[in-house]
Amino acid sequence: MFSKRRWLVQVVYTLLFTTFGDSLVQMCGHIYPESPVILPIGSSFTAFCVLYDTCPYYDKVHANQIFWKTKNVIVPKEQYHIINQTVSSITFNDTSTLISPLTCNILVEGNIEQNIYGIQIQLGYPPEKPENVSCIVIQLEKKKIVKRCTWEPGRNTYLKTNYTLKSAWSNTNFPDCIPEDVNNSCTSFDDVTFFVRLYVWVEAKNYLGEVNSSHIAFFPEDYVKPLPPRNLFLNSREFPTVLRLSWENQFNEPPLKLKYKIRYRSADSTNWAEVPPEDTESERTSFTIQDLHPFTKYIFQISCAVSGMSRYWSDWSKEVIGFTAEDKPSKGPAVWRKITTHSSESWTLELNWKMNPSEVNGIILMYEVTVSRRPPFSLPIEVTHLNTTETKLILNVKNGMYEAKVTAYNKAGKSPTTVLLIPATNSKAPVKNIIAFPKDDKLWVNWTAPKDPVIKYIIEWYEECDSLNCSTDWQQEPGTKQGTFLKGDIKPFKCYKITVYPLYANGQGEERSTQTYLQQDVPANGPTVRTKKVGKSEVLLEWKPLSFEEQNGFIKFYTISYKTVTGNETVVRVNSSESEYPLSALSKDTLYIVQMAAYTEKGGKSGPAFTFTTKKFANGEIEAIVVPVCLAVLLSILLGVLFCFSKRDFIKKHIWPNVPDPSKSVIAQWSPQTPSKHFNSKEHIYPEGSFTDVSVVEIDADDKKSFSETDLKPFDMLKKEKNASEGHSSGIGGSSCMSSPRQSVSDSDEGEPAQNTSSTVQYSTVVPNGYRDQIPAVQVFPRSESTQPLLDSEERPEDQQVLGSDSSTPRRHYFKQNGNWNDVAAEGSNLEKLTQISPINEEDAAGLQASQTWHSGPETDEQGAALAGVFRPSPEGPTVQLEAMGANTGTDDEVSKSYLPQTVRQGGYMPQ
Amino acid sequence: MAVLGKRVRKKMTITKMIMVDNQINDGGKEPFGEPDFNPSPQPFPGLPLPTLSTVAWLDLSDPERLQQNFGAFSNLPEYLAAVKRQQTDLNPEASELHRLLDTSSVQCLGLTNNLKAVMASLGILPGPVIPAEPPGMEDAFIMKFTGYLICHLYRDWVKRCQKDMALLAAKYPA
Repeated sequence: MFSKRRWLVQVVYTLLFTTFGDSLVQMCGHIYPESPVILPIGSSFTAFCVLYDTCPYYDKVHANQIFWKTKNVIVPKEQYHIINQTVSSITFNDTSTLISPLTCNILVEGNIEQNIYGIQIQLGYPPEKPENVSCIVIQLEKKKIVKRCTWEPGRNTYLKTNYTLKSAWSNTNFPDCIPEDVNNSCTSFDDVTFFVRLYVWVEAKNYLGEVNSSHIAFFPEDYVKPLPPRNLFLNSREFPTVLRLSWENQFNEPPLKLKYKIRYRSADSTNWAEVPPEDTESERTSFTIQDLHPFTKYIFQISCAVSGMSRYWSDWSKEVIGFTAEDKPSKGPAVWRKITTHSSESWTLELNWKMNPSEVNGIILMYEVTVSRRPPFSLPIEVTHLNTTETKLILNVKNGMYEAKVTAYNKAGKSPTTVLLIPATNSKAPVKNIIAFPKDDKLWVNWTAPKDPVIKYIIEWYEECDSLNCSTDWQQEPGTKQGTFLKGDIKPFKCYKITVYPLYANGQGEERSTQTYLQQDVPANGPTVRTKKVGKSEVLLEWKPLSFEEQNGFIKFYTISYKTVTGNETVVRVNSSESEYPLSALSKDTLYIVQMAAYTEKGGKSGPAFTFTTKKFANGEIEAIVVPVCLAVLLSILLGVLFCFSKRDFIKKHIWPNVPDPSKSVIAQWSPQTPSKHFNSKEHIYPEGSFTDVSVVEIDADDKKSFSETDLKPFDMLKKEKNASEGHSSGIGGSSCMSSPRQSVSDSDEGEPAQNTSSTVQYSTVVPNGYRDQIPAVQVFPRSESTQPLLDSEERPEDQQVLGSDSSTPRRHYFKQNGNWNDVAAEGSNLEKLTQISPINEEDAAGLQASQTWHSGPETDEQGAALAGVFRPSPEGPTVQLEAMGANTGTDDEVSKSYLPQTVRQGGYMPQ
Repeated sequence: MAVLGKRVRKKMTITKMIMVDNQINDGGKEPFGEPDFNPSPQPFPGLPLPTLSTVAWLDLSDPERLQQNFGAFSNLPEYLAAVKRQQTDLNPEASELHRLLDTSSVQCLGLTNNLKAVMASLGILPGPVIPAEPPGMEDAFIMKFTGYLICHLYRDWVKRCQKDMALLAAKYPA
């Protein structure tokens, strides 16, 4: 507790000591040397800390207890040196690291730092020798001329350094000039004495050293910078090319004389022209400037200097503005024409003229314009004569050679007259090698002159644009020139078409043109590409050329980049003259993204991306597949149809077998008890239909084609067989067979007795029960008695197809049978001619034919009476198919006539 | 020698300048402005009369000529300074006159400086100069008259110097 309190007291005591030590508290030691210590940077330095013998604040301490600090850093003990028990020294070999303040300290009880003494140290350099001392004698006011000298003080000394400008004659020293706030110049306001050599030097001095600059010697009059003349005034005195400039000199130090510089410019120019200095070498207060341009606003400035060796000029004076007077136009207007041809006979002649601003020399009051016709004089010579303030004239004239004269007038007079010859055609030699390019931010046109002497050139130009009204500008150049800048508002990024016309004394030369840009840029837009034709692996791209507004430069080339959604991009470079491009080797049925960029010399710009999908099939590929397939199908159908035709009988037998009509059954004739009258006329048929054994088949030559060989063979065989078997076969059996000849053959092959038997049995079965499964026939049997046709719809096509010509004949016969039988012959017996087929015919015909055939008997073979009655028993039931019939009239007649007897015979046959 | 010629010409112009200044000094109040006020010039110690007969002037050698000028112009600043002190007392408001007297004094000093340089370039060592005995403060009229005489001498010496320098310049062309 006690020790803590004591420690606190010690702290307060120490604080008091350090704060008020100098004034209130007795010191316990000191440092030698005392503050302020000023040291050269990098030098060595030794300080000593001397402890007093008595110190009221703490017990006696030894010098080896001393430690040194620079600011807050303890200096290493190695730099200490204990001289005796009260003196400790410290040495710094290089003071550049010494940081002020340097303190001498001890540690007192409680390990508390106690400061004994401290000194402030300033580090710096001695001054360097001032260099480049120079002086100027400046006129500040009319009567105030001062001398100002400047110098380079050298490196920073980090110490207060005094610079003093000293000046002297060889026999006299002048008062020093001490700069204020600066260390590199001083202005002496004492009077300056001219013509005496003055010596000047600078003395630099600080704590660490003193140095003088080299002495410079000069005559002050050689270094005078006077004030410029004032109160300038310009007087034109009504002369168009002369101005008189007067002024007041401000520098008046005789015998010093002034010389001058006079410069001037027109108000619209930034370039100064200067009066030749030799004209203004003597002191004066006015000067007349000649060879100025009339009617021009001029700006003048003047500067002066002391004549002789002076090396300084005054500043430029304030500007003064003056005007030269008007003069008559120095040259005539430049005249040019624009001809619009309406027909071979008439023109619209537009005359344009303009004055070169540098030749107007005043304000144009009017133009006098005369247009006259040149020989031949078939029409009045003078076309028009007028005074106008306009600068163009539009005339509708006949095609021909004209002469236009234009004169300009201003207040001072009239210009020379300009004559423009307007020939009917520009047939003279043109200029060659016209070329235009940017130069100094303007457009320069160059050309090679034709051989003949040219009076002048007209350079015409316009900005290329997509609309029709591109305004044209032009200018005139003398015939001696072979190049010029375009005098007009030439915009960057615009294409200019420049045309040069040489004008000869007797006409105009052909024009020659070129195109150029003042400045090019990347195009404003890229081309919009789209597909013109899309194929399977190739596509034709097309695009519209960029408009002039979009181009911003000459299009050097295009690039087309295309890619699939996932694939790599392919870039193709395309000539700028192209407007379409084919891409090939593309994948089929794939989405492609294509984009196009147009490039000028400055770079490119891409247009919008376009997507397209290649086709799955190439053009014609589908057709190449479909057409052969269709053809193949058609061919097969055709073959099928042909096959069907060729096999129609076979097919018919299987699909539409002839169903015997039970109503035509001749069963009645089977039983002798049944009177034939019950059947009436039909009875004639049934017996016919019922006879089954077809003995004779005659194949008409015309119908042979409808029989195949296979068909015919059995026929022959059948014929033979039937003929052979006729003798022993019963008629009924044959009838009941109703089978095809082949079957008959097979039947006969298998066994004739069976055939006969079966026929007999069959028939007996048929009549009462219906024929096999042909129950409807049985059902309608009673109906058939009414002679109405059965299976009308079924049988009709067959009749049409097969019966052809003869089917109706039996019917007729049938009906005639009932009526007038004699008509048959008169009717025309050719069966083939009979085309009308009624459903009933079939049944009738079947009977009739059968009867015919049967009736004609074996002898009809030779007659050729044909009846293709083929009776084939089909699985479904007996079918009667009359494939072809041929019957000659004779046979027919015979049959018809013998019809009834046939029936009788049939009946008579029964006993067989 | 070219340098010498240039310097001599410069001296000629400085003498002209001094004359201009002197003209102002010549003007004054009565009797100094009177047309018939024409007292004969009087020499002062170290400031002899510049006037010589033509033969005597032509007989002088260059060093002698330069030495005479050097002596006179070496002492003139002191005499002019004395005049200025007197004038400050007599005409404290005449600041332009005071300024001209100061300037003339400095210019005489400058001319002496230049004469010394010319002599040095010709290899002539300036000889001893009779020390000036400038007038102190006296009666007002005496002071005015003394001032007049001194300024007159100053003007005459400038004229004489101009002539001497022209002669030297002719001898040593640029």
